[in-house]
Amino acid sequence: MRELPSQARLYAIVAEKRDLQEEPAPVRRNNSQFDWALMRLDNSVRRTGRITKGLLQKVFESTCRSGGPGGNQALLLLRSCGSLLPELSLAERTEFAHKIWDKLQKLGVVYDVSHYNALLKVYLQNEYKFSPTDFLAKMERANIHPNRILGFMKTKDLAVTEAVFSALVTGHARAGDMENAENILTVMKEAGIEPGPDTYLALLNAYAEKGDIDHVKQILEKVEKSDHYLMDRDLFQIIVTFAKAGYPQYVSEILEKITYERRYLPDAMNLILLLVTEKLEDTAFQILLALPVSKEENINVFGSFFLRHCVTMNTPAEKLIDYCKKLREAKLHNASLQFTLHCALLANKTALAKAVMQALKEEGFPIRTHYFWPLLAGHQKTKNVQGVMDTLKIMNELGVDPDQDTYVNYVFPCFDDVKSVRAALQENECLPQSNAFAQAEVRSEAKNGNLENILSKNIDLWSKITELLYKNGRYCQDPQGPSEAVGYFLYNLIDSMSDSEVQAKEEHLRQYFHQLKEMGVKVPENIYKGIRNLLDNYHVPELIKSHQLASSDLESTLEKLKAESQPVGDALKQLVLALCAEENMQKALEVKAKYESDMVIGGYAALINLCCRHDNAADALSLKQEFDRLDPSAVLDTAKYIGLVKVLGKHGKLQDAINILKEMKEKDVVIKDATVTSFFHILNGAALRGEIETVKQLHESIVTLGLAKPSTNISLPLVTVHLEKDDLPAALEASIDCHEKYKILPRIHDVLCKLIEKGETDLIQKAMDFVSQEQGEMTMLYDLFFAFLQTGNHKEAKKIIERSVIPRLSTRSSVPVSVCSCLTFFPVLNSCPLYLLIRHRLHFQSSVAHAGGSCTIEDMLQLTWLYREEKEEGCHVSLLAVTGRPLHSSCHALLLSLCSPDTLPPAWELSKQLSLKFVSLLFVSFSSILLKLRILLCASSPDTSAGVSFSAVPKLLLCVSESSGKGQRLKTQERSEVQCLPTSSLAIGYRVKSASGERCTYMLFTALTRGSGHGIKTPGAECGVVLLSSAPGEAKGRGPPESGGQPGQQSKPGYICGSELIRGNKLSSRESYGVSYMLCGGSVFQTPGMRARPARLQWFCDRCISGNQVETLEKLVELTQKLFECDRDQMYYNLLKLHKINGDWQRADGVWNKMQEENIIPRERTLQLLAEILKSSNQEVPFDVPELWFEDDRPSLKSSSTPAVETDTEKMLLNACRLRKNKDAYNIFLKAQKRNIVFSSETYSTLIGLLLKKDDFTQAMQVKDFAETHIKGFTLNDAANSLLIITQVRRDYLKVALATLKAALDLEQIPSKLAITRLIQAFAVKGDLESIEAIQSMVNGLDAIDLSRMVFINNIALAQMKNNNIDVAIESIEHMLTSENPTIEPQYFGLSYLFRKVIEEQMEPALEKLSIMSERLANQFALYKPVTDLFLQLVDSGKVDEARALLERCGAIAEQSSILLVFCLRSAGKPKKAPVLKTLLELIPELREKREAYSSSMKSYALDKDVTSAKALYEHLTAKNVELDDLFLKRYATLLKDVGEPVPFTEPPVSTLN
Amino acid sequence: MAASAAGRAMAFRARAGQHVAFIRKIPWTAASSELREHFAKFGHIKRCSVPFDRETGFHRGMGWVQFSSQEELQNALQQENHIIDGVKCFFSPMQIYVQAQKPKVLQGAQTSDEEKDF
Repeated sequence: MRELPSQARLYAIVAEKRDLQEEPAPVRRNNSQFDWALMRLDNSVRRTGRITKGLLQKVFESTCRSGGPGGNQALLLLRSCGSLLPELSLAERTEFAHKIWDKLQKLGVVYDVSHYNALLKVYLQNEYKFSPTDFLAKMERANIHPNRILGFMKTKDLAVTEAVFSALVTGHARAGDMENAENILTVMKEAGIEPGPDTYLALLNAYAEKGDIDHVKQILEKVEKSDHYLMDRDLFQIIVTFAKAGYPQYVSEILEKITYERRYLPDAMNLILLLVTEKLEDTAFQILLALPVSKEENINVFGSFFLRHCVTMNTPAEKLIDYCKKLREAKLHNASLQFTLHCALLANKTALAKAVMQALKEEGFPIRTHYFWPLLAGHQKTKNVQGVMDTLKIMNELGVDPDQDTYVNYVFPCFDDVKSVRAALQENECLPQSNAFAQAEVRSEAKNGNLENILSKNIDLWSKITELLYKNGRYCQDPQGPSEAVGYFLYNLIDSMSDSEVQAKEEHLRQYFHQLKEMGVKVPENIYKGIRNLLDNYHVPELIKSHQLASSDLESTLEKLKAESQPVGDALKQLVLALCAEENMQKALEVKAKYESDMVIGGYAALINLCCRHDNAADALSLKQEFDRLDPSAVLDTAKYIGLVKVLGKHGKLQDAINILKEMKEKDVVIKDATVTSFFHILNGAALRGEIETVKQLHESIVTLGLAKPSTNISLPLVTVHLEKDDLPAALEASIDCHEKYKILPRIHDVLCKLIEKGETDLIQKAMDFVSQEQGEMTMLYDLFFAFLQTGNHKEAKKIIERSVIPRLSTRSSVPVSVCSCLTFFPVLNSCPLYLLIRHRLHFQSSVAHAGGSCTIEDMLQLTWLYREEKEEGCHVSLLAVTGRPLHSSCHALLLSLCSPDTLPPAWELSKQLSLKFVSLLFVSFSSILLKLRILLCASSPDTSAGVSFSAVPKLLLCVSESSGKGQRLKTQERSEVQCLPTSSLAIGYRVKSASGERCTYMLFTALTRGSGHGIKTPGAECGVVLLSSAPGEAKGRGPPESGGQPGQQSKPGYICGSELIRGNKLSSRESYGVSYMLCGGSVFQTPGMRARPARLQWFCDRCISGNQVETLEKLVELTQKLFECDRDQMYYNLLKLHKINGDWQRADGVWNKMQEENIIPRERTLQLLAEILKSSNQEVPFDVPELWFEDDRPSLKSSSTPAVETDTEKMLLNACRLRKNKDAYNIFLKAQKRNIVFSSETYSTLIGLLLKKDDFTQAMQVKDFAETHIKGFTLNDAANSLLIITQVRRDYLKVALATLKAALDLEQIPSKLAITRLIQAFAVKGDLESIEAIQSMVNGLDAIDLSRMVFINNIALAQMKNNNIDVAIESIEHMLTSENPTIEPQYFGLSYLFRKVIEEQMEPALEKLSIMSERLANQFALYKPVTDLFLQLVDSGKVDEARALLERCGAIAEQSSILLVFCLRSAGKPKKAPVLKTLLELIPELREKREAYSSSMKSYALDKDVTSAKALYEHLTAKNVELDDLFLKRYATLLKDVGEPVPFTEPPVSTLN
Repeated sequence: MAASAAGRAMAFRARAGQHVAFIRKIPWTAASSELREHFAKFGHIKRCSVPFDRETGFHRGMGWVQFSSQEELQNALQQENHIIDGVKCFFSPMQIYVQAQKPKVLQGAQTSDEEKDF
């Protein structure tokens, strides 16, 4: 039995497959937790065929947290631990399963056979070595009987099936006996069993394990030749076997055989993950590369799952990097290295991250500082200084300088102070050259206020720091220059001081600022302002004054220097700069003129800039020339060049401007993004001034010089310039020109708007044609739609939306979308099983097979269509399957979409039995004239008995002429076929003529001649002649067709024709959609209908919001109502956003109403926004936001607007209910009633429940009446109904109560046990047996009520006795107790209620007979329960003598201690039971020493203050040396103290008394 | 610069209302300088921030950009796709977000990992 495990595995697989079908739904529907878990796992499995470890872990943890997990949850979790976890190694999976098993068992899950089966399956899937016998023994210990799989393991006589043979094959192969393994096939055949795929697979795997590729290939060929078929999944298995057995070289040969059907993609992914887990990543990668993936899109990220898993499994870095590169080269993943780096960083794998970054660097990608932050963050958490240093070293190695943020956020927190950081950095030789560290140091210190010490002691030191920052070359590499660093430093410093501090140190600060001034330190304007604000806040305005930096006295210094003949260069520059800063251009130019010979480059640069700023083009240009002369190689900074270009462009010095641009290029000036922006502004400025030439030339120079990319933005001015001049043709031309040059369409929306405003139809047409052609019809439709909306042409906008809105039948996107759209189209499909099959992407044949004969025509169509969609075979098959069945009219459109020349024959078969309507549709749908002719021929042929008559022909002809008029060209093959059709055409012509008159003849002629214009020469002409000769009148009336067959008149737009067709034929609206759609789209379903494009819609919404176009936005929202897949909530949300900006609560309120009309369920944020708007306008909010405070799903949310006052009243009412203030609650109700305020059903139920509880029956009924008359279909909830029943019983309205019960049960409510019991008891006392039986049948099977059967037995007996049918009652009870299969075990057969009632009601004869019965049962059947119960009831009702007599007659009563003790315990819970217990103990003294009895008695005595009995009991017990517990003693002591008697023992502490 | 990343976001929020755009789904490879680089072509960027989570060292895929004028913000709005580091980012003007800025993106980002596989 060596093969046992493998056999079991096969069965496990079979069983598993079956399981999946058998148990699809969670059993416990009410357990939302479980549903949630199931959904998550199920989704994961369905989508990917696997579960991630994290997900399973999460579900497992939350299951544990939820308290008592159910068996189903356990099963779900266990099942997930097998092959669904490809990312875990086999051992880890089993370990996980065991963890779950043990943990859940501890949490109280009771395992049944299904759990053991699940565990076994997991074992098999995980190749876990276990002993089947041990496993079975374990189960037997748990008293679980094996079934299914396990059953097979136990039994020896297995049925001889293919599975057994497959197992034998594997067995022989494992034993190395391939010969016998092969022989099995022969044996099988001899046994009359054909080897199937499973057998072959077993054999294939056996050879694969041996690395015998030749045999594998042979067998594969054999299988191919047979009628068996190995699925991709099977081939994957062979690959795994090869790879695992160490023969990766053969994998590619198997890969060749794989068909890569899309549905196996998840399998392939799982295979890849599994191979990576098994450290066979090379093979995995090989398969990954072989997978069919579209490589068209720019953004490809295929293979992420592989990379991520490789990172997790610690695949060597070199390998991983190599994979990344290959993935990128294969255009599968365009950010593979980055993605891998991300994974490595997430997993904190420093070495890998480093390697990947090195690779990235080599590939020329930037290594950004923040790439290191995750690593640093990881070290920071553990205060791992060495780790931080190592990371910094890596940064150093990779040439990445840590920036300030890096130090401040991630490095410093690991150290105690900044100094130690510096030391550590120095020690590790990674103190950077840049100023970042110093800046960070200062920043950090300033932030922490640590400079305070230094400051208070020595301002000079402070100044030195600043000086260092400002002057030291190390710190001046920052592009913004040192001033910024100093500025921030100052800002932080002052910001970190409190105002009192600042005030206290005012003098220090003044000195400091003074020193700064002395040093010539300057601070950027914006930071200066910030500091000034701070100082303002600190109320030290004097400081501000001292801080202002003077400049004017430089001139005198300069003059002095000049006079002393000292070098003035520096001073001159200072002066020029100062003047520039003061914006004193005149003076600056004068100074320059005066000291021209001493001018330096820096001075010129500042001056040039100054002139540019002052719009002084002439001086700027001449200064620039001087500058160039001074030093031809000198380079200005970018901003100054830009300034020059701007000013030159503005003043018409176009060539000079272009020259500057050229110079920029030549001198390789740094082009930052801000530069590009500046270019835009220059261009835009020129455009606004209307300088076409300037814009054009500058734009072209900029773009051709490569200074900026030809983006949409920079090209906007090209169009703007024309728009500004209202030259629309030029504007459009410019935009189109841009598209031709740069593939962008700047300002097309604005152009369109203007065109519409001006009514330039031709230009609109031109624009639309262009967009449609270049960017697709949908883009065009949106462009046009938005333009119409923008210009207020709402009607036109509406037309676009309406005529284009159609549920999309044909789609190029994924199937789910199309299925959804199809479902909207055919609601009938929602429930059909075939739809489900399709959803699961089952193969066509199998789908049909599954559906069997039951499949409806819609199913077939649906399927057909899906197949067409996926370009698979099967279309024909299903079309054929459709034929011969009556066709639902809604299928027409779908059928049409299916018909192509290839599928014509079946389609034609179809049409034979179809109505004219269909044929017409069919007809127009063909693009080929040839097909039209063929159909026409068939349709008009006399032997077609179908409903197509000659009267239909005109319509068909109309279609021909229209469609051929649209310029469809025949393909060569069609043409030649048509050439051979002259006779047929003639025949048609004659037939048509005789049948339908001349008009039709003419039409046919037109059609044919038009056709001839497109290549049909002979037949068209021939027919034309023939027909013309026979229909001269018609021809004359219309004028002869032009030679060459050119269309005589402009054809009407297709959709008009379509709508005529629709009107004429009274098509259903869906069909008309189809037809008009087809017609305007040209060919059938090739253009998509207009559907929501969220990005475009949002774009327009945002535009409207920022432009505050309320009406336009409102219109957009209105018009898109029926747009397919439009996110209505989002649209309304946008509208509300705008209303909020305008503070327009009235409109917002209108939106709220519209949303309800449209039946939109708003998202929470929408409601919140709406509430905000209303609140800020002091309006009441008509709905609850955002948290629901009492009970959720209150209908007020959905019902029409309720003013807030109602909600408040309702809240008050519910509050009163919660506090059990019935009067208050009722009064609130009355007030509300007066004001006609209606609450929700739940509120009324709550109120009624409270009133009933308080026995305010009349009031409760009033509320109920009101609710019933004001809320349609109002019903009380379960609790309120139960209370109602109880109250009705109490008031003796038994029939009404019965009706209430019935109504509640009809509503599937669950009335309380108490309510039903009360009702039954009431009927019993009345002797109303019938009603009791009615209730019994009503509640039969309702386990939820949890009603004891004894309730019925007791009360039926009582009712019978009330009717004097005592003997019947007794007989039936006796029968129940003594029958061989008692329905109720005798020990639970409690008749106490019956006995008590009989005693209470003084039904002496009945009591007597019951007594006799009880004794008989005791004496003859040894059933002591009834007699003991009777005894106790006698005692309980004070009939001591009778009780004693009974006890004497039946001494066994005294031995029924369990029954007696239960009685004691129960009695002790009720007041006034002390005498009863006393009597009982007297009658049966031996009870006294039982703990339950004496403590119950003491409890009762204490309760009833029966000191004597208590004392007697205590003394009896102490005499008997019974050890008394604290509770007993405490009760006794309290009782004694209450009556003022001493306590004869130490009183136990209070805490024991509960 | 002194303000923490979160503080910077706060600063944006406090002064929101004018010319600030909110960007979502920023790829992890990009930080504020990349964002600045991208949006600079639409106008002058006054401020730009992509707050990082110091616990993880990653940012949360969102950021703010403040333009100096409404017009520039409009320029950016004109462009339908904003692609940073080869990834399409979502861009929306921030006028309403003043209060309702909950980083729900975080959760979404975690759950969507599986979807990204393909």
